[in-house]
Amino acid sequence: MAIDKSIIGRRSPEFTCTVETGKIKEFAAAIGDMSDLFWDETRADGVVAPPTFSHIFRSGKMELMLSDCGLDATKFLHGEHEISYQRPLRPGDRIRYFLEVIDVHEKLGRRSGPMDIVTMETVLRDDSDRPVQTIRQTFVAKR
Amino acid sequence: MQNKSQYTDYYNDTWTEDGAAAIGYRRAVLVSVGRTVPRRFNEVIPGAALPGFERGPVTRTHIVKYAGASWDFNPIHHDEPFAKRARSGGIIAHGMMVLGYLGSLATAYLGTAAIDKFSGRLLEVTRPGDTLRIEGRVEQATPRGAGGVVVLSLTATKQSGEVVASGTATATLPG
Repeated sequence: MAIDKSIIGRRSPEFTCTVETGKIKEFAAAIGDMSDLFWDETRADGVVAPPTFSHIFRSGKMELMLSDCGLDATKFLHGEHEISYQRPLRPGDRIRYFLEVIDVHEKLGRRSGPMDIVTMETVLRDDSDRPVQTIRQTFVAKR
Repeated sequence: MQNKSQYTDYYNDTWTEDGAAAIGYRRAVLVSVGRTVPRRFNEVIPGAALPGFERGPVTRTHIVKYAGASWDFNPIHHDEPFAKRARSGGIIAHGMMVLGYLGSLATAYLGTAAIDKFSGRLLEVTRPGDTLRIEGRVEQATPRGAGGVVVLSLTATKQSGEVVASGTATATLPG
């Protein structure tokens, strides 16, 4: 059965988070990246977050969002992930964001047959309401 | 330099593997890897391979470390009985951990040059024991103003030859 397209436009509550130096280092360590860009606080322009760091703000919330849309989150796997950047995240950034379902469609996989694809978007905004990063991610479930 | 890399391997393989070393400790004995100034457009050679690296063999410790760092505690990444019953059929690494490796390759090359877009696609799952080869190349280089825009292609390939993830990074470089 196809997913009801009326979930397009559904939004999560708004969340806020502060980017922290320790979290950036913990994340860099977890991907085995020892670059000064993420570790050296004495650098003239300070440390920045690795490019995929912002994903941590969505952890768990995406699965809850799928459930809120009446979908079985355990049936979905991550497909594509795309981040557009206005600038990198830095320690002290206070960001606000929510998750939004922006597309639902079906696709006929050559090997796997009919699949449902849900796309979610998150715009991270700073204190002055300027967008910092836009994350789009697709979730794929076999019928 | 030889000694330095052996030293690095030692800490990679023992201290952090069994979780005994504090994150800051390992960092304190190492020099930075990768570039810390912006890559300049006039240094870019279209089609050139990026300096690749290996990650792994991926262990449950690596996966748990990523779970904590990313706040992603989906039990398919750490709870073996749960994961066995799930669609994954056992513990699998976070897809975003593998895309994080691709991001590392991009930033090691680009330095502080502005990344405009990063995209990744997960093709296969990564399980404990898998070793991933992270590679990339300069796919496009287009002059713009004094500098230019580059598109890097990035891949993570298992020891079996299967590509587990592919991606691209687009960045604006100074001249």
